[in-house]
Amino acid sequence: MLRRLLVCGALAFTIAVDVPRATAQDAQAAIKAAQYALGMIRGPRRIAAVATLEYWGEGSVDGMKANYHASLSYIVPAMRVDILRENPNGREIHVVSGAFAWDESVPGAGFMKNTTATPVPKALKARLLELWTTPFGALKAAERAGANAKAGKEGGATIIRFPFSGGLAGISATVVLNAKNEVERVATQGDPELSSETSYSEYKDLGEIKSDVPFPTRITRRQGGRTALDLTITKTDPNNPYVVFPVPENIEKSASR
Amino acid sequence: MNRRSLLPVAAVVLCLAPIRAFGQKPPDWTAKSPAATPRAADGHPDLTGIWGTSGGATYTDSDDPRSTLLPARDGTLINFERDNTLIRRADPNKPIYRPEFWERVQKGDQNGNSEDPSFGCMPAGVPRMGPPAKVVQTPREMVFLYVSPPAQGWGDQYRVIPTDGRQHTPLKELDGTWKGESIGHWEGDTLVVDTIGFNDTSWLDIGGYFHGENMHVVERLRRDGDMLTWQATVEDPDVLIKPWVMNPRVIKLNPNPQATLAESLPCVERDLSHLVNKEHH
Repeated sequence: MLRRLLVCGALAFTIAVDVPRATAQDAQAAIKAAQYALGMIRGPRRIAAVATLEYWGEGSVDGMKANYHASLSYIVPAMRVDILRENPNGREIHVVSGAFAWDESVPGAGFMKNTTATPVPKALKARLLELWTTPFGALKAAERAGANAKAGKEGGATIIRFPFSGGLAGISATVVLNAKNEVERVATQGDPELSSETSYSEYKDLGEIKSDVPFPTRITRRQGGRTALDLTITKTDPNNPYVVFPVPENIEKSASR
Repeated sequence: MNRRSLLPVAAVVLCLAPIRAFGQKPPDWTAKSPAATPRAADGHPDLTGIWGTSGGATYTDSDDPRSTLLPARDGTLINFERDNTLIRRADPNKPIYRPEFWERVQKGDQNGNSEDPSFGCMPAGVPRMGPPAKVVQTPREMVFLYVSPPAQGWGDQYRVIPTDGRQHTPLKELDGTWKGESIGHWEGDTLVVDTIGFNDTSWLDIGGYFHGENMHVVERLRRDGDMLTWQATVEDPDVLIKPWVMNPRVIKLNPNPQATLAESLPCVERDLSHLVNKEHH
């Protein structure tokens, strides 16, 4: 018992004299709090339960009025963004799935007759970044950064900073949480062409089937000194919908050439 | 008292708390069985027995066998339902349908309360019925018995699977059924059950996972001591881009020599007319 008391006393003294202000431990606690606030951790075994997602919005994309539909999987990882702009650009479907990026003439193009899937390898990083800067994506990426994620307080708000890894190595993110621990802003740095700041607000569960997964109903992104995205979200399906991203054969082949 | 000054106190309190509370290790449910695998007279592993405590319900691939009994979050029924439907749909292993069917799968899932055949007391069918609750093995055939898992209503089911080397009946001569025509053979110590001749009424799982009449299912069952591993592969090129390899399930042998299969309650659909939204159950 005496030895135990001595060890405990030494531990208490160590903590008392040296508590860093922003630590990886704080970051993991902040990430966890935000994940709970967004309904990402569920069930008695506290499982990361938000795997796939769909949302629909209207507003502007690159300054042009557009309807916007995104479906994504944090597991693959993959994202399909279906943008219907007013003239002159019409419909654009941007897809990223793992190490591949391509454009589709219709969703699932390349697996149906008279459809076209066009490789766009240069867009890979930007599209992956779009996925990992969504509110859930940023928290998952921050969690994955482990001890490299740091948290602190600035002006009363909780800030989490972390570096991306893998295909996005060299890029880092700053996540700002609001008082409810919801993701309020995600900014990326490290690549001038890809640096952006996305704001998320007015979280609601807009799903037809309620799942207690709130999603921002206002999204704005500033990139390169202009507003790249300004959306009002009208509908969400956060109930892990069926969204898949098979890679067409021609896309795989083009990447191996 | 600020946060810094609280930490030493907390450290002492935590350090002096009963060690046992921090030292308990969760059971290792994935450990290989130490028991020997019994063999039939023909040398094949003997799969005979009741698997699971009451009909295949005790899967051991969970790290917490009590998980279905525990409340979710604050313990309310709505939270429990929402948490569990979300978690079940988070499984990354999904069948990859042809794009022309993506919307049908989504609609089927969204309207699952009314469209899922198992909620309407229809049979689960192969492969959704999963591993058998009881196996009776003879040299020329396997008899698989099934009982409804909790909260499902498809009733007691059986399959008689020849292992005598016969071939399938030509597909065009088969009337499509829920369980199809199954024929088994041994590949080493693995029983392979090959099934064709389905109707297109059953689902592969929740989530709107329908299939076509030309579906081909290959189940593999392997006994390792008192554990049985079951896994199925679904081939259905009419609707799937590629075969779907379902998650394996591992069940334990019921060690009670007096164990019997409990009779499933009759299924009568009474809920649908009372549902007021599409929330999953």
